[in-house]
Amino acid sequence: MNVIELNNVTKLYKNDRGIRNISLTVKEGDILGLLGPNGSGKTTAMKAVLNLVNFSGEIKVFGMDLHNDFEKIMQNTGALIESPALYKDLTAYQNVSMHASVYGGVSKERIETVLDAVHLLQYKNDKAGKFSLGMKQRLGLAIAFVTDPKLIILDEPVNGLDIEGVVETREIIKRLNSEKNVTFLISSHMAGEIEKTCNKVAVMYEGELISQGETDDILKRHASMEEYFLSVVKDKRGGIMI
Amino acid sequence: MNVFLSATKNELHKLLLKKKYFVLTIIGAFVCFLRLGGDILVAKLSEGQITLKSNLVVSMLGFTVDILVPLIVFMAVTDLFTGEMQEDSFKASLLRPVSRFKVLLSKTVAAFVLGCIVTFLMFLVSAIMQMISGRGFSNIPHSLAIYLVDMIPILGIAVLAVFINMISKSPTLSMLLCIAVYVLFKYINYYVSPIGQMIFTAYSQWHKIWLGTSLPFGALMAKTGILFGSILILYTLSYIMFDRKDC
Repeated sequence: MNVIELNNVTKLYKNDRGIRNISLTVKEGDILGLLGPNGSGKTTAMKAVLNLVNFSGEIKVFGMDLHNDFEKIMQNTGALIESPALYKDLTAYQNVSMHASVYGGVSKERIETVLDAVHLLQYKNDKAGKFSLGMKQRLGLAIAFVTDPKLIILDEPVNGLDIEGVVETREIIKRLNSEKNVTFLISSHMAGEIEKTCNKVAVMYEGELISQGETDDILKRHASMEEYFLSVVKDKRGGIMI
Repeated sequence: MNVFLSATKNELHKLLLKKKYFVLTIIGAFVCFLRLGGDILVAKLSEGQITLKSNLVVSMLGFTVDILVPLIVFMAVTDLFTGEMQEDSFKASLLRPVSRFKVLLSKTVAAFVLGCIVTFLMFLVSAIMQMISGRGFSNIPHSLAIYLVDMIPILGIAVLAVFINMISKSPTLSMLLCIAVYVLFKYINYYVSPIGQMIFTAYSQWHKIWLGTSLPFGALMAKTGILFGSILILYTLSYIMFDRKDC
């Protein structure tokens, strides 16, 4: 089953940057990594999937049209886009519970379990505005995970995390994927991270999707994800590498 | 409906956690106290020549619904829209199973409810002071009806602020524009009466047309139509802009 389908999706900002004619499919149980340099359109593509930006083309999530069935889609979707959207005057617990309250049926125990999983339980009564970048990122992840979604969209999820945090986040993603068959769409500009976390990769460059494939197949043909990325970018540039 | 109610509750909760609304309400109560103190002082100095106004509750109404509550509603709407956009927390409202229409409506309703809460608190404070000062409480039920009727146009004030917040990207500019437009509308209302009657902010003391006067039914309906028509037009325009906004 296709969880996400993008058909000829275009979103261009005033400065002519954005995404052009992106077509992409994410199947159930996939961990698909969007790999690309800064400004390649990864975040814009994710924002389009979450209806945060206007776009042309068609996006279906869980087989439903994004515009017509947004509420149903978001019932099963968790997301962390750019910097975590947190209310700085609210505590960590309040930030998570406020998000969960709209879904209904999320217990206090569940909120505390998720906060514990991201090592924020001891700071649950501290205001989010006083958190470090890494703690904010962890809280953003807790908000994305708390409602037990079937699809999780994470934009640079390990941004600002220390080494331990990076490893733990990767383990949480893999565990949710293997135990609960949660589908992930993850973006990163770090090829190594995508290689370790994702089973599929799509490379974006200057707003276009220039290559995609399965991680195992790519690693059979290339020494590393980094080398694969550099080779496809080189092809796109016509053999010129800076 | 549950999603909308949860979203509205969340928005109101965020507003109630901000101390500035509490402080402004305390200031409102203090103004009420000063008003009472001033009345008593004038009565004493004039040795009974000038008597106290019997209805402190209604005499506080102008300050409450023309100054205090609009200011609080402007601040609340600005906090919930451009304020959240500037501090990058606005996305949180859009990453939930709540459509943009409901997000806009929940934030607007939350600001309106906050305005109503402050109006009611001001009624309570002035009613208590009136009773303490020994002016009796026989007119309190009528005063309560006046306050309740005057809560309705607060929705118009909230929608006006929402519309301004759709145009502006900066909280400071939004707040300044809200105040400037509101003052301009008030100014027009006082000095150019034929135009003033066509502007919905003229009805901030709405009880004047509903209670104690005998306006023809047609005139009542016309004024009601102007208020709710203005709200509908501004809200529709706001929604069109909000729905096309990139976050």
